[in-house]
Amino acid sequence: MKLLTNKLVTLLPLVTLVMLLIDFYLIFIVAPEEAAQGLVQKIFYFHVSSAFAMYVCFLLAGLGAASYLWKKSIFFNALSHAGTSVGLVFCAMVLTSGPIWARPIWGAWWTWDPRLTTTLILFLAFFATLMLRHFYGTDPRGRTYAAVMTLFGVLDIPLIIFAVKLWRGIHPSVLGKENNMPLDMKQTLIFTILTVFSLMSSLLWLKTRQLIVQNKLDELSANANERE
Amino acid sequence: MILVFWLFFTFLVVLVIHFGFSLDTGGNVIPNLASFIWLSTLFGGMLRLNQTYEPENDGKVMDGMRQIPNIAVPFYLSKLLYNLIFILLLMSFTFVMLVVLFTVREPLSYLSDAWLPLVLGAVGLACIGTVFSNMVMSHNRREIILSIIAYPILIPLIIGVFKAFVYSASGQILGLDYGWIKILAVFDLIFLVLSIILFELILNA
Repeated sequence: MKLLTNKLVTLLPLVTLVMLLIDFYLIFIVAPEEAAQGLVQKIFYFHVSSAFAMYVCFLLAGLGAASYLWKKSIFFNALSHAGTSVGLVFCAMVLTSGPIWARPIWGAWWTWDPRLTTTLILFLAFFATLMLRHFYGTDPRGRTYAAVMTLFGVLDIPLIIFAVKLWRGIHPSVLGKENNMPLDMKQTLIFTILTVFSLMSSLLWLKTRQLIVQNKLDELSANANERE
Repeated sequence: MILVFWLFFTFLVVLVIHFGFSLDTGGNVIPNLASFIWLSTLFGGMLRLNQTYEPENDGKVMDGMRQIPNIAVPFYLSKLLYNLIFILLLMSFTFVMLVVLFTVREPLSYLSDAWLPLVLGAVGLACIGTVFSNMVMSHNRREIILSIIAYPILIPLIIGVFKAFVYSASGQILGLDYGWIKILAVFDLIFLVLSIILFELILNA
């Protein structure tokens, strides 16, 4: 079992790398250029995929947090912490790729559109949980408090989705019912989503393992200090 | 790292103020009174929320509290009620002060339009603040930590209070947007239920 996981850890980032190379080929060579927006529309593939990955990571962080509060297992704390960290990376990708795309299309880097605003809120909420972890360092209370905060952050998500519907904005709904995307674009988007999910899985896996090892080291260090 | 915290806090303050003053009220100051009250409550209330567990912070009071069976829920609710009363008093004081400063002609009529979102906002603020201030009570940097962790969770509620008012083109409050009122009520309910469920875990951490 351990051998299999070790192989997976080595294999998954390699698979991701190969998928990324194929994905760049699909995005820049195979997929047609959008008539109205031109080259800048290519950002769309990573922007949308990163948004999906962000939600999955934050939901995993919430799941890890709830499980940690229930079982007090170091693994679940690490999963919650990793979900938050990796989710923030993808959230940052959404928040930076969005303005780069928006500048030539909307004429502004940023608008207070509900979808943009709520993504920023999610970034702030989960960034704050990382800060809370930092404030408490190796103190075990920090894990419980961060788990509680993560749950509050995750529960914001459905309310935010509901609020977005009420608060009309200019952000397009990419996966609406009337989607006239050409087949090449659709296939490229699906492959990009798979690639980004592979990248997300690699990062989550590595970060979770790193946090578990870090925790063991902290425990050993604390025991050694006590003996001294 | 402390620089990051201060920059983060400053960014949060800018965001909160932006939501308060980005409403189209035709440049008229009086309709913005509700925003003034809500903003002053957010900042003034946070100072109060930081003091929630000040009496329990001395000696071993919290250790004693943990020994009492089933104390978490009544303890949380009593602190919540105390904070809520304080926040509502703060809102009332701010309202009276603004009525005098801006010469509001029919204050009671204004209040009848504006009270519901403000009270719902106060409940949400008190729910989150009472829980989170317990998480930071023993930390020597609790003043800054509470603001940093509470505002991001509260921002949807903060926006909801501002959005709940419907303004005319001339900037008068026409009424309330009950879609946002419902969202505020749901926020309050979720914050309260989750706080009650999780408070015991926080108390025993």
